[in-house]
Amino acid sequence: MAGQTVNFKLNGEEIRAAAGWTIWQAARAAGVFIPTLCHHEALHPFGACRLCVVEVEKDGKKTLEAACSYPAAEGLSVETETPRVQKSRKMTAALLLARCPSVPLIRELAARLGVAEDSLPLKGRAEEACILCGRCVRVCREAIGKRAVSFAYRGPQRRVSAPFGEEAPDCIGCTACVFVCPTGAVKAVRQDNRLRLSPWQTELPLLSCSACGRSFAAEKVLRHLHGLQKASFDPETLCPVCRRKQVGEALEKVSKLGKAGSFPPGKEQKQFKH
Amino acid sequence: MKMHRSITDPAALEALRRELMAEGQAAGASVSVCCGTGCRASGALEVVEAFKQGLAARELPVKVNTRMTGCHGFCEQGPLVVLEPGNIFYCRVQAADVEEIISRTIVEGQPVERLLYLDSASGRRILREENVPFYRGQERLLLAHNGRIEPASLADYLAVGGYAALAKALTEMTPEQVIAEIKVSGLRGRGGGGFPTALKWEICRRAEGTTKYVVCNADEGDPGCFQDRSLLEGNPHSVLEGMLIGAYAVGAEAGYVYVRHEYPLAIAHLSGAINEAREYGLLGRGILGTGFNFELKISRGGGAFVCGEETALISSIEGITGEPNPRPRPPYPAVQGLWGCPTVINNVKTWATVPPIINKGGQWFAATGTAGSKGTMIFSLTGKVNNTGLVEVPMGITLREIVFNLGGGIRGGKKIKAVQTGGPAGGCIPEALLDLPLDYEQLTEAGSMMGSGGLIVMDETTCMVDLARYFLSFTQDESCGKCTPCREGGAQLLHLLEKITKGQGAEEDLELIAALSAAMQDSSLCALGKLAPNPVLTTLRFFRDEYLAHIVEKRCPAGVCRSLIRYVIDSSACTGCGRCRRACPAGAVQGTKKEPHLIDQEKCTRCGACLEACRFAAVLVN
Ligand SMILES: Cc1cc2nc3c(=O)[nH]c(=O)nc-3n(C[C@H](O)[C@H](O)[C@H](O)COP(=O)(O)O)c2cc1C
Ligand code: SF4
Ligand code: FES
Repeated sequence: MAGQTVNFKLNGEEIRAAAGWTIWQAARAAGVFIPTLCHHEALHPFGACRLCVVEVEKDGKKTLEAACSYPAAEGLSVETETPRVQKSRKMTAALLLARCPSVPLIRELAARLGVAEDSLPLKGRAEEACILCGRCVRVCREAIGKRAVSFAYRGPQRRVSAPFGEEAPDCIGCTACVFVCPTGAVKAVRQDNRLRLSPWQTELPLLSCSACGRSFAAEKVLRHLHGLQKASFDPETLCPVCRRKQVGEALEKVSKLGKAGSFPPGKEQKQFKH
Repeated sequence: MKMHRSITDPAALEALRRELMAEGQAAGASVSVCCGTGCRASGALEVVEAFKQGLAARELPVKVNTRMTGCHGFCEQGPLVVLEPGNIFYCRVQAADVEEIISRTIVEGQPVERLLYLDSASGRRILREENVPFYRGQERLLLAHNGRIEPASLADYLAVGGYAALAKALTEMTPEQVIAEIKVSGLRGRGGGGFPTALKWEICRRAEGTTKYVVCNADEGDPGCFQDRSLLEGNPHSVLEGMLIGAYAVGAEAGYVYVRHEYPLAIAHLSGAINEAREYGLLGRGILGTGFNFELKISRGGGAFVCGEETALISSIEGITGEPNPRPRPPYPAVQGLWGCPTVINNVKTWATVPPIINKGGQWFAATGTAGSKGTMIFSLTGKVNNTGLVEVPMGITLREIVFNLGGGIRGGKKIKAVQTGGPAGGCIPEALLDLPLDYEQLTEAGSMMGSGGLIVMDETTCMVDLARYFLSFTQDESCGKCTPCREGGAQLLHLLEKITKGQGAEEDLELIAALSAAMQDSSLCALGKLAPNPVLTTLRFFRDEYLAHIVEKRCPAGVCRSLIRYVIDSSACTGCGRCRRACPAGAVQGTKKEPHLIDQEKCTRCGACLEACRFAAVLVN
């Protein structure tokens, strides 16, 4: 498959995409914006929020499909802003606004799509912040390889939670879920050398830096990372700031350049988009 | 008989079959007792025991076999017993009746009148099973052997021609020829979508990959439907044979049957059949002396409705997530299914249809039905009809024929109002459209669908708004909750319908209902959400007046919606017997003996207990 390409029409223009790309990936490469919510580039397509729908014409039939998961394929004709698409997106935004009336991200989205404040009769709780995009659940499984959190219950009762709503034994406190949550529904609080994650009722001890004494990461995370590198775990460990400082000082000593700042920058860290 | 050899090639299969058939003919007579789930619940096993003991206790001139068969489909009349020769049909048989059956019928050759089926239309008793109206209108292709064989008995299945289609496919046909034959037959999926089976197989055959799977979808979640259960219970080998042929056609060496765990008898019979097939070499390596290998496993589903959806079913078999997880399609399972391998998923009925097609040819199968829908279909006929149960009918038959000929018309002489086809996510077909020939396209055009074969008959006492609310509450409960339109849109829609049934609806609500339904249909992730608005949209299309009566006049014409009805006592008819007063749980009925009673509307909870209690039709619904 590598190196193969497919050609299809996007908003009337022939574009080329790598085989295996989704419509969303191909559109982005072509500079066409398609809004997303549940999608995250570091994770597998999930297709849950339905905000990214586009109109796909295939074999003469036009259907709405989720751009984030629909594979780009030869001969498709894709439209990203037809009235049908706009109507659907607007309803999706209205539904999410009704569910999460006070989440800024959803409020902005709804306003942008012209959704009136009280367009639907059933209202969610003011404090509801979860749109059930499943990023937290997926990042835990796909990126970290743990299953600390999952979906519970079906239908309108669906929610994300730790198993049985109790403290998650599988949680290492990496806070990846906090990082990928688009609405701020998952929160981490660091206090008194402890990490508290909500809505999971998880609390983990934080490890203190052996140099500066600041608590900086859950011990389980460091054990997990050491495990991945097949290194043994040393509780006498430095926080990232002190480590950088230590490395810098050591390099300064051996370097003729004398200034750590002149070193070529490290590989740029991949930015997660929200 | 006890069979004792492994079936190593087609010749051995035929030799064994001849032997079994000769033995069957030698047996003079048989008693077939339906031991499907329905008849078991009404005492079939006790009847079997009584027959065994009663027959053993007597010296009879001919040998009489007692057979525990699968479901005959007419469960409401069960336990059912069919005596051969003569095809004598007894219903509602209890163990206490058995002595009489043996002495009168088996010994003296006379029927036991009171156990014969009473045809309510003609008022006559009917002797033979094939003449009972419920069966007479049927064309039993898949269910043909259900009432004749012991379900998990390979010997019985062989005696009725079993595994001949497999032998033919493996030794006389290439996989491509098998697919071509299915294509000629025009067979379409019986599990819901009606996708052409041959095309699905072809896609899977052509898909890249050496490991492929076939899967039988026996999740059967539609309330009131039990045709798949009956097939698995009554003739599991037919499903197994279909899967073997399908596996050969697409190049699969392993398969799964996904059965809901609420079907213990189906699971028991199926595992019995699998074990026996394996023992005789019909599963495993080098089947019938050819190079074809196949293994089959049972996977038990937790019983969530959405797990019948094929991608959710796959994730459930894979066991990766505890929660149902429908996945975006494409890729379709035929290209990327179980563990990423090409996988054909077909319904129980679809699989069971394969052997007869291979035996008799695609042309033969295609001779029955309409231009786009071939062969027969099994429906679960339920609701307000006189005869309920499983009916296998040719495609193209009208709903009216099913309801009035096979179903014997509406119960209590009431008027028919509509028929819900396609299960809880199907649609409501009004009386005016009952002459529609049953066919995938026609049903879809009417806003409904074939689905897995549910038929619920409704009479004038059904409120269509309440019905839509009921079905939507079912699909909402069963929605997995993954995608926004189905989870949130369905909840909003249900809320609006509840409002209307409570008399709090406004006319603008109908527009919002249409918009929410359209959004669900258009953008839901899986077919559950896409189809869930069907009952709402069809009732709105065909019974808009009834919605408006609830909204504008605050009236429920069918007298169902509690907030909109009042129970009153007709003082000219009331004899003051006091039954309603004693029946009312709210203490709302007042009155002195032998004087007309009154209902206190403040206290009345509108439960309808008085209406049911009254013997003088004095309680009225306003
Ligand atoms: C919510 C939902 C439930 C379903 N349940 C079933 C089921 O119980 N049995 C079944 O055979 N198909 C069911 N289907 C259809 C399957 O997804 C699939 O189309 C079918 O099994 C394919 O087999 P066929 O081509 O033989 O019909 C369901 C679909 C949906 C959307
Ligand atoms: S349509 Fe309903 S059942 Fe299907 S994925 Fe969406 S929420 Fe789940
Ligand atoms: S971004 Fe595609 S469905 Fe959510």
